[in-house]
Amino acid sequence: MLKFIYLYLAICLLASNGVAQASSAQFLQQHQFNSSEAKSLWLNKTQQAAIHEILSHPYAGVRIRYWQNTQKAGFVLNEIGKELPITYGIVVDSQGIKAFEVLAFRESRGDEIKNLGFRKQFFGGKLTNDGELNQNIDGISGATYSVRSMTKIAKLALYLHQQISQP
Amino acid sequence: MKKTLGLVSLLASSVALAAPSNDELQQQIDQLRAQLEATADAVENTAAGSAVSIGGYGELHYNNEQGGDNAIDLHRFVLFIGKELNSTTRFFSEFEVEHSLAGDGKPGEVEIEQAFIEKDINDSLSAKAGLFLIPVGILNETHEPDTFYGVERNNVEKNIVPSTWWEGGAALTIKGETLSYDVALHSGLNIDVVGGKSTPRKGRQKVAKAEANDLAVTARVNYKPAAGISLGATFQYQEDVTQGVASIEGQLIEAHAVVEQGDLSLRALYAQWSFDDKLATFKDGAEKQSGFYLEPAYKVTKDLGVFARYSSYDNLAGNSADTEVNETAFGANYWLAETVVLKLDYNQKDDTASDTTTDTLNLGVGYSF
Repeated sequence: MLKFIYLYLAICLLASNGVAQASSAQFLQQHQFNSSEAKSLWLNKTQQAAIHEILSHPYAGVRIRYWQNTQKAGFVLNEIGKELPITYGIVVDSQGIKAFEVLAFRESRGDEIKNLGFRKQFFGGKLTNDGELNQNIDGISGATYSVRSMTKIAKLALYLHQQISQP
Repeated sequence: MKKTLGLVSLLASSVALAAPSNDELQQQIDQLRAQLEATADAVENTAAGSAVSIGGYGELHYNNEQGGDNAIDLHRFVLFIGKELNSTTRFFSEFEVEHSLAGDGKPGEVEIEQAFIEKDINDSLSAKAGLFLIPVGILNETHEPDTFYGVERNNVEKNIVPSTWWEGGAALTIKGETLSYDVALHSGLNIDVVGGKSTPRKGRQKVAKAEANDLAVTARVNYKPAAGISLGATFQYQEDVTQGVASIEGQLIEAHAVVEQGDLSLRALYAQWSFDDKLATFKDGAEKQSGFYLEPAYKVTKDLGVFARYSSYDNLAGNSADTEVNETAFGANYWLAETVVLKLDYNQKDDTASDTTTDTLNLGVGYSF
């Protein structure tokens, strides 16, 4: 019996293929942003209130950093899943969400949100008039909180893109 | 005249000295902007920082047994404490008070359900050591009340698996794009067969000065081929579930599926323990214990969901006597906020051994943060 278990363990180790996490600088470069040229959106009261609504809690900061390349904006944002913050990289343009990656995952469970099969549900997503995502996101069993965190960041980035695109 | 001109030029130059040029103004603005950004950085670092994170959940239940007693119970009050120790090392813990009041002769318990260190070895491999939840079933690891239907946790995972189940040991997790694996070596069950106990639930030692003569090995595979589809299977082996008293080998097989497609979802689970036939000499039929449930659910609106569940389990499945328990439940969850839920369900429990049927109306409120 124990032999079977050691064999299983060996198979597991062999099967361990990487789901690479990029650093935020790498992510920004990949999407044609100059990572050293960050802009800041200083949040006014209306924006603070709107973000509070999206996140279900106040934003723990006074401004949000972003990177811009013509119509396209990139963000590196944090949101707690269950206990510890998850770091996301997200790119939005006028067509909606272009790219969405998990740059750092610190929770003990729920890391399936890193998988492309899940993330691609967000691509092309936009905000409806009542501030919801226009696309249905099928969840992941055992990753409820991570999925929720990622959905909030999608909505936040779309909202921020609206704000910085206003003339 | 010359004097006047000289005075004028003197005044003009002093004016020029007092009024900074546009370049100088721009420089000052840039300096101020840098200082402002630095201040914002400092504020945000303090806000996010490396602080200890605190979370938790809890649930209050009201059980109205038809023709029997009613009960109200603060079933669980739980606090999570966690901390990121460095970029690859983290601490997690779960501290729980069950049934509100613990102590000698009191109904409740104070429990540490999790307390472990997790270390990422690379992007797809992590290890943990300490006291952790066994990787088995649907509810064992994820059991915050806002994540499942029904006031009480289902009886199949409770009585067969047995959830909530934690042990002390070490584990490896390997994560791939659609497949992930867990292997854990940990403390095992200790079923007091001589004292008349025969179920895995009664064998949980809760890592409290536990007998560790015979360890257990657990292996799990999770397969998530597409968003909304999750299949999992766990195998556990323990050489002696009596820790040297009666030499009884135990094997657990569990498999489940969770499917969420749009507003519809389905949970299905099967679990079976096989013990050495020697267990039958202590309790006839206990050498096999198994159960399953099916739970379809439908999200009526974003905040309201309804479900039905059929469960069947038998802690004495090894003999031909009628000993199974069948349950039919239906009810609703109403989410007041995304992590706050009101629950209502009606449960009919049919105990074939005693040929009795019990109907219970359950109400609950649960939260997590």
